[in-house]
Amino acid sequence: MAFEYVKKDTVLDRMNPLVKLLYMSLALLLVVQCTSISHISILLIWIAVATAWWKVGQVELKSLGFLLKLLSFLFIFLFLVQGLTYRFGDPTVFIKLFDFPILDDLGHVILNYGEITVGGLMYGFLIMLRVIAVVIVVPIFTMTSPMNKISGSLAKMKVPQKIIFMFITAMRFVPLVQESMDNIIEAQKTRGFDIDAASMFQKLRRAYVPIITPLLLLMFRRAMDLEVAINARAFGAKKDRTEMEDNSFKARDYIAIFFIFALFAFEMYLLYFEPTSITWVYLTLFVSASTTAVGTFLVTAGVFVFIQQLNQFILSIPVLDVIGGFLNQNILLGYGGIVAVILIVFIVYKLVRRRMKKKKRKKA
Amino acid sequence: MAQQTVVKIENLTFTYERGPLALEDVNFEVSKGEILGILGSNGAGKTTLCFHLNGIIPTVFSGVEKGRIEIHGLDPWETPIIELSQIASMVLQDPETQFTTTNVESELQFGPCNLGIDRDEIIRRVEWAAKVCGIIGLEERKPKELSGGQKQRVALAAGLTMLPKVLILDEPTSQLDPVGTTEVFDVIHELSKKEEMTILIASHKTEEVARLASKILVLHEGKVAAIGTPKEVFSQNELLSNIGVNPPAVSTLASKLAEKIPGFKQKYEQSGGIPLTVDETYSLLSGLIEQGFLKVEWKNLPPPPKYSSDLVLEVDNVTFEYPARVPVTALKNISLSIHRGEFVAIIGQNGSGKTTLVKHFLGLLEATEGVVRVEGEDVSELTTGSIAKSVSLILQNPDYQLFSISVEKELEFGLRNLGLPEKEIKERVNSALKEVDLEDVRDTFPFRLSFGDRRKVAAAAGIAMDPDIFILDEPTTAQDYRGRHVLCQIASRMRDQGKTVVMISHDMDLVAQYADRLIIMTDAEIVADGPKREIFEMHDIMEKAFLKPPQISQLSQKMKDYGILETLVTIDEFVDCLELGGA
Repeated sequence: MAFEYVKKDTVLDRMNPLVKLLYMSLALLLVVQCTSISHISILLIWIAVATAWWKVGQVELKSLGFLLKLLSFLFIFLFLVQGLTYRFGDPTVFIKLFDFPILDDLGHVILNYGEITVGGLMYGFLIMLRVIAVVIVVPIFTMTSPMNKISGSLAKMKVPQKIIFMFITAMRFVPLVQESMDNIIEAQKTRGFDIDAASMFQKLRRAYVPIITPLLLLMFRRAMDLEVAINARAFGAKKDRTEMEDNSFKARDYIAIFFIFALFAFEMYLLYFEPTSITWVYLTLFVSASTTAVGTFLVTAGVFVFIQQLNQFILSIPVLDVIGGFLNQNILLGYGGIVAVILIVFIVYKLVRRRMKKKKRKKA
Repeated sequence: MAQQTVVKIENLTFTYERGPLALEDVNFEVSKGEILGILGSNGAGKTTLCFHLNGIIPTVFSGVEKGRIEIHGLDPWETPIIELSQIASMVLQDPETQFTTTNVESELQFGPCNLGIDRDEIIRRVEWAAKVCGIIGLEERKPKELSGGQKQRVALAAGLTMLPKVLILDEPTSQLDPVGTTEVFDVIHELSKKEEMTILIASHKTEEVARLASKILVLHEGKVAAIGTPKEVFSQNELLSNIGVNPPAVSTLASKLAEKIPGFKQKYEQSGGIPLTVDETYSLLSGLIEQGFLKVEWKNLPPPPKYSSDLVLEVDNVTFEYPARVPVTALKNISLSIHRGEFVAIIGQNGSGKTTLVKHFLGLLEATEGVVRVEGEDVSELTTGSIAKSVSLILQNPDYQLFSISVEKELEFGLRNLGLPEKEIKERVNSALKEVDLEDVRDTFPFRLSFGDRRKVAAAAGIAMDPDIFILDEPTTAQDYRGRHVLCQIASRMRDQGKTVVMISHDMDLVAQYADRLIIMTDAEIVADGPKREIFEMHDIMEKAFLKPPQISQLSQKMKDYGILETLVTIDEFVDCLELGGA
């Protein structure tokens, strides 16, 4: 599993889990306040600092990639919905997908919900960063805190024993569910049930019953056994369990708390008390400067001309020009053909890989 | 000095709430430091009896109880489970489900922490328990990083940290290989000797129980069928086999000889009762032969069955690595070929790669290197679903696959996946149900059936697919003596119909009886492959693979000098060779 604790003996490992919990709650507190496009810069700072925590805790960046992959569908959805509906930012049209105009009394078009605007995309980007800012601190907690430390510090906070045990059991059941699920899928495959070969529609229609049913029944049975096991070992006998871990706060914990609060206070300052939104200014300056630099370089190197000619060439191909022409609008002007080609190649690649996978076998 | 009675049960009768009568009129006593073996088929009431002793009944399960239980002077129905748990500790059948925490160390601390015991005392107890159970050095491991034997010893150690006076073990070794079993039983033996702990073991492994227990209780349908010393109990062979308990093979041998040869019974009774171990039997038989009471009449064994030269399974230099942070090599350069109509058993200790290998036959796992061919076709180019038409795998745990509302529907599922016409589906379901003798329960919800019957449903689902190759993964898991034979007999019948059978097992008696060819795996490699009699003679390799030949084979090898020319594998073969001597 990607988010299990692995002993690494770093500073984060030894840190009190409560500190990391505090970090997580502050992350939540921050993102609920970042609501406008200019807050992108503030979120970027938070994310950059969180990445530094990952480095300190030696948490594999691979698991971040895994997280982002899990969330990628959400992100695409966010960009689409926000791009089409958010109308408070930069109204420049990025691409027009379809026509859905809203008219005023005189018949003038005020809004067109078929257009993806640049402002909308930026707002989608903001929401994406808000999600990432929270998600990125979760592994710092889960992947560097051993379970007995977590339970110990929760007990110290006077969280009732039963709730702690529920939490730990939940954490223990996650890999167990995963494992059982894999076993069940294997078992059903041996009965001629090809879930990999089924199309998305088939999967939704009938594929999950043979997998979810045994999983649920199995988990109920496991839960029963667990009840026997904990009762046999006097769970809940005494109000105060003996805690084996030393949960007192050490110097490093105080330093970390100080650092977390300082960071949070700094972000709050930028958010509310810095009148010129200086970070946003710097960010826009930086982005425009770097795009201009790249643009100038491309023009001087002649790449730009080449790209445009390539695009023209592609658009002159009879079939491609329908799709290319559609994409050849506004900001994409001059690249629509290339974008279309890339899109087509991607889709064809996906389809071919699917077909290539395995053939069915005929029985003699 | 009279021994102190620790457990005393008088006229215990128990009925589960809304359930069947589980125990009826059970009486027994156990003294301090004694080991009591509890035998019986699945559903005989062994677990119910164990649950009574540490207060799981009535705390977790309720029901109606009559009679008296006394454990260290306490009545479990009056005493809270918290007090009881410090007197009687229980280790359950499946070590996986009793893990309450995420690593070994906190698992061992869990019990005493609940009792609020002093921190230093807990550390002392954990150290002691880890040492007794031989799991020092594993403290940081997670449950899934432990082997089956280790898991079971961790569960045992976790029980020991409660410092119990009585230890109750419910089939502690049903999932372990022969050496894992011996490891656990050795720990148990030591505890009773050194710590004077009173131990109750419910188990199917009669050979091990016979070796250790000072007293044996046999349950049948909730009633006591027999009680006494191992020798007393195991001499009642007929009774035991009627109720599905399998005495050690040598005891059965002695009983069968007693039937065949008049006067044999008196002879072994004179020498101190029915033999339980290979050594006892050897000295008994060799003594009697030397006296002239018995003689060996060697009869040539039937030749091994012939099979066609048609290859159905080929494994060519297959290597497989489980992808992980540190990749684990689960198969190393495996090559093997299996012909149509063979009955092959793959044996080896837990974690030696047996299951990994058979998963390759179905394309569930894809070889890192090398090729697996089923009936000439490369498995890596096929979907598992389409291989399932010709290869059927019956898994250890049927609960991974049963989901339908009725047994009949369950069988239909696979056939519908194959896209067969309705009429054929009906026919196949009927014949498969007949094959496993489950026609009466065709409309029952599979989860209402017993574990043994659920496995039979899974087997029927496999048979209905009409495979050419039938793979049976560990027929002994959580099965009693009768249940595992039923599964093997099904496999045997499949072979008689011309199918190929591959069985994975670490029950040597079973393998000896049914298979023709054995493949031994150790540490991801095949170390031996050949006819069963030859394999049982390879003592070095068997030992390295942590396996033991069955008792009968060991005995026949010892008696080579007396005219047993080849390694025998079944009791009947042995009985045939012995005749009444002249004197």
